[in-house]
Amino acid sequence: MVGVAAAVAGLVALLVFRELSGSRAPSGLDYAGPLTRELLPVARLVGELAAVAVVAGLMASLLPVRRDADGALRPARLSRSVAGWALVWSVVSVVSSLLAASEISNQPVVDVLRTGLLLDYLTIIPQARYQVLTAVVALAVAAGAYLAGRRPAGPTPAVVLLLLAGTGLGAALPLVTGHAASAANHYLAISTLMVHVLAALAWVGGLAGLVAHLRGDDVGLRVAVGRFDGVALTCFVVVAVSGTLNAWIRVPDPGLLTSTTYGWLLLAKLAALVVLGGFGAWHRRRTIRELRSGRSTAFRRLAAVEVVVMAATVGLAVALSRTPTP
Amino acid sequence: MAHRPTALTAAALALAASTLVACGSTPSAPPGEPVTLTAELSDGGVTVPEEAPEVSRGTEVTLQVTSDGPAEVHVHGFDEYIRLDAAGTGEVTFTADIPGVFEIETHDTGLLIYRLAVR
Repeated sequence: MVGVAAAVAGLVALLVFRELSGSRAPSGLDYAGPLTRELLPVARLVGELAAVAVVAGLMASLLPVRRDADGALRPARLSRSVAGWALVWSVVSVVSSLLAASEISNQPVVDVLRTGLLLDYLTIIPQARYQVLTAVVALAVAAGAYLAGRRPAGPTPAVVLLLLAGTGLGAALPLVTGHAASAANHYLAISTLMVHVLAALAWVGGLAGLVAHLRGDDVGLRVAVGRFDGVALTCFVVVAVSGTLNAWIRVPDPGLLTSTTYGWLLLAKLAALVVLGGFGAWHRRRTIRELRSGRSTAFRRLAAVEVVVMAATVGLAVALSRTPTP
Repeated sequence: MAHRPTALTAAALALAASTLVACGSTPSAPPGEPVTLTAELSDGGVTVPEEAPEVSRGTEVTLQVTSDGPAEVHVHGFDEYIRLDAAGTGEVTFTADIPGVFEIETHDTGLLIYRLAVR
């Protein structure tokens, strides 16, 4: 339920902000056609959300091993979820790669496929190449999770950490190209963006794990929240600082925040961050205390809303990444 | 007995291959003479002598940019750069080995310099 709501929120945010920002309109040259133009951002969003689902399963696997209501050990079950989502992520990354090749070479996907030079496109064009690498890494994560999940007790924490590192690598690879790669201060732009995305991934993935994988397990949720609380706060701070630094590199003059589309989208992201910070503060003041005294409803509800808002912010982030910097 | 299917398969493959070739871009000359494109960046604008000619795949392309100040020029797709820290001339050579229409533009200012069509 929450997953569907989150996916819809992400998609709606992407489409709305893309429309508002005007980045939907082709910039001068658009021989790549509508399929590429409309589908590329959506593929990127689906890839990011699949990566979040992978992290959700992995982070939940790091909690003390518990049995589900039907008696199954949870980590083994989580591994199947991780493997499935990693496979989705891999397939979507291949699609993104093809669409990126089409966009950069300004011809429809069909034409890219018809030239018989697919391998050349996917290796020469950097935007396509890094998506292919992500697809390979995601496939490795899927295979690793599937194999580790065949152990009755599920993967060991060391394996889970390895898979998490792989997921982080896969999520960071496409960031090597794109607007940050061409920014004036490009090393700083890329590194702050990577830190931003990885911290956001851990934050959103961790919370999504609590919401999706601890349904009906109040005891498990209490333990998990006790552990995740500090992680979430750290991620929030890192996301805020890295995001601000990155924005400062791309938008050197504060006046551009209100005079350019990129600036407005940045302000929208800042607003989302403030809202999410507010949710966090409310958790700390109220819902976690209630959870400790045995009432989980308030925490679960607020966390679910939080995940949906986060997904919408990811959609906004994809729209932002497709908007030219001032 | 296995001959006929094999021959048929070979024929089908040949047909498919020729179709693929035919369906590709319009036939063009084999990798042509190396092409040199020049451009001048001055007063925030760009001047080029003429539109870039359509080149056939595999052609060696040299881009030569003269600027009256610091500039960064990016050849999309092939991901080649010319970086000038001050006024001067920079040059980059690459092989145009995939078909498409690739934008060559300045990075900071986003000025379109050429659209390089590779067939």
